[in-house]
Amino acid sequence: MASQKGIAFRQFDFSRKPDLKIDLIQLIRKNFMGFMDRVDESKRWIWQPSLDGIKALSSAFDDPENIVLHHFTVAPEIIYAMGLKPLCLEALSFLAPVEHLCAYVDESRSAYVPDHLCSFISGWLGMLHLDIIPKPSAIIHCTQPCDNTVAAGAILADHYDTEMFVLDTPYYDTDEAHEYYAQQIKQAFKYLERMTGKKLDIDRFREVMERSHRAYELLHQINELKKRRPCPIPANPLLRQTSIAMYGLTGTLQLVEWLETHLADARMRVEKGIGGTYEERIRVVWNMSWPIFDWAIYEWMEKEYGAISVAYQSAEPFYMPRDISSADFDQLCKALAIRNLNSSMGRQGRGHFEGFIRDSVYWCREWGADACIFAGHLQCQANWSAAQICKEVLMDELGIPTLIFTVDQVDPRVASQDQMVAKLEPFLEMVSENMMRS
Amino acid sequence: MEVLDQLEALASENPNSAAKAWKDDGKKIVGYWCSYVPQELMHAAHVFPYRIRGTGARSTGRADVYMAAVCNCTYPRAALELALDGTYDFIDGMVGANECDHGRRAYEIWVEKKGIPFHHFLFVPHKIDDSVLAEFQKELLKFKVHLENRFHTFITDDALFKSIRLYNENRRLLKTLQEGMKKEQPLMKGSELNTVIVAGVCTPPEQYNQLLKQLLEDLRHRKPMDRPRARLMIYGWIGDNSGFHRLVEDVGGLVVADNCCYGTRDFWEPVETDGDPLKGIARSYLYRPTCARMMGELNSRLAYAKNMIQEFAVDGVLITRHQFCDIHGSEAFSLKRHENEMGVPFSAPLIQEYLGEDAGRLKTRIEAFIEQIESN
Repeated sequence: MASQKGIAFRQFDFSRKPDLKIDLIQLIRKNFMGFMDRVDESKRWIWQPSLDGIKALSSAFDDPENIVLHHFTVAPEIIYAMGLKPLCLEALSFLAPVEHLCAYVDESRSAYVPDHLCSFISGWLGMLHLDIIPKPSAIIHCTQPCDNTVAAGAILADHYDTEMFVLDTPYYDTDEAHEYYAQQIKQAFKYLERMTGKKLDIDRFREVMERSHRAYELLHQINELKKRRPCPIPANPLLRQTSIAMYGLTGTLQLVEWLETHLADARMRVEKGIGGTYEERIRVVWNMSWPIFDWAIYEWMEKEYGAISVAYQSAEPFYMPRDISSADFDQLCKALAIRNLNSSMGRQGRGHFEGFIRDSVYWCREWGADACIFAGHLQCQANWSAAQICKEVLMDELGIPTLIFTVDQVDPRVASQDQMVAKLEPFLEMVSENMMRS
Repeated sequence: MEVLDQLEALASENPNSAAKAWKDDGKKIVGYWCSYVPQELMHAAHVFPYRIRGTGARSTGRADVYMAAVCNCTYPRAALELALDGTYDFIDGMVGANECDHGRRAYEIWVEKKGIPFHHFLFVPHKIDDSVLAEFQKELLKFKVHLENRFHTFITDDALFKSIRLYNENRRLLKTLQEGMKKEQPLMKGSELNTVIVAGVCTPPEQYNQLLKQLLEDLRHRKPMDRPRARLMIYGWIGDNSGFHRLVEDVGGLVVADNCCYGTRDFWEPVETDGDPLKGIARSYLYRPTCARMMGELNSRLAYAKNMIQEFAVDGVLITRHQFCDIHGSEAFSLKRHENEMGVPFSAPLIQEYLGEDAGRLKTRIEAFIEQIESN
């Protein structure tokens, strides 16, 4: 099925293996700019985080001496505070063209990476295996949100035969656990100083943290506006860009500026009483993954059912900014620890499943969801084992139905757009009918 | 051998005779999920530490409702199944840990859906250094206090040292048995030794030590095994039974060494017996031969494996894991990368299902690996 009700789905060509030993950044840039050429000029600001991310990757590839490889749930503020260049490995997977990414995933499988390891991670493991990622000056990894992260970390350090710093994420959310993590952030700074010869500048650290906090303040204001009907956040592209921004750009001025634009746009929509492109009839929360290989699936939902996505797990970090204007080094590290432990996915994955469930309930209740969709990324065992209980809780507490189905966020060979439609269609029909009856 | 039969029964029944006898005496049993949970602490609180396993499960239908079979390991699903069907109703408490996503979620679901009078989650760090050691020690202190409060006891240093010495004796005896596998023609099959090891996680240590001593005595009169086609080591995760070892034996091989959880890692080093006992336990458990969950420790695991290969005259290493095990699964990437440094061939990863549906396929692959060794 190439299209659904006038919405054209992307066609993928997996019939031949693309050249993989390439200048990946150039390919990503070319692919992205090709996409941006087709975007209406008035909407281009939406994709600024991706553009900033690509620029940051490019800058890092050109300057290996200052690269710090990191996992996407490691706070980049640590690296920005050191004046170094973060290179988020999962960003490479996220931004690579779909056919290329799938081929990198396959490449990793040929080197004995298990076929159930997260495709975001397997993608960069394939790149690693082909030696197309420059050797960094340092690596900061972590243990949240899941075993996939733990498993990949060992491979990473071994591949580069270099020392890696691991931020060991606690299971609990107590003050003691935050302190444990804060101590490790301090150690991470020492590690970076030792590996790169650079010294931590406390004033720069404070500046980075103030930007990070400002970003969270803006995000909270944006999220408050999400409660309005129609939702003034034009759904899917903005949620996805929020996810990229809050993972990779926290601590930067670009992020603050983008969120200011985002907030201004949302306020304008509230004032004018407008939502996205299509009329809002159903509000949907995606409490797990969100396939990224084809945006058209979300437009199809909006057009056909008026199903607007108001929340998506990876776009919903929970950190509440605090006053750090007079914070000393220890307090800044503690604030960063709490901020980092509340990053999306990390927060829901590293501890008890109750964290995932309470967040799902919060999103659905606060943003007035009519339905919840658990699109289970095939390799996310930690969240998969919370799915059924969460479904029961959402029905019991809020009367909201949940659809659970299997996808791979980046690989359409696991579940294609048509297969997703086959799951979504009857569910959204049911939700529509129930809403009409009530 | 009668003592082997007794150990086999202890390992393969769930609950076994030891658990039933313990309960008949009105005493408490606490289940635990991971070998990083120190049994010494529970023993010193006068409870019987009984490792949570999937032994006895025939299917996973109830567990699959909550732990999707599409991505979760069968082993914890089998254990959860036994909780939901009432098999584990004999335990009075349970200790979970963050050994892996599958195990910790199975523990959480068990507590949520089944309920259990006492439950404690032990956070085990994923890396090893002195700052982490202090954190683990704090975690153990919380665990100790929780045990004391729940079971109305006080765990004195003396009681803890007594338990440590008891379990160290258990480790020493197991190591003696394991070292018997260095012989060209050992006195035990690998499957038998593995069964003995598994029995140890579900038998009171006092009783277990007596059985091990009897076994060592009885083995002196046993005829050596035939010389195997290949002396093999298992590296990875095989679960809580000896089915995999028997497959190796079915095709003429012999497992003489391992780097496994239900294996040498758990007993190779004793727990310290001087200084603060809690600190000693924390340090000994963290710094012992590591599970693949421990980040930054690949080199130490490779060194351990290389030492095993040399000491036990290993001809080849079988890389194993259960389906959906990311941690042991990804170790294969690095193991194959370092294969040339290890002096013997490593198999491609052999992927198992816990309930054993794939024995034929595995046997074929093990035999092919042995043929590869023989042809070199």
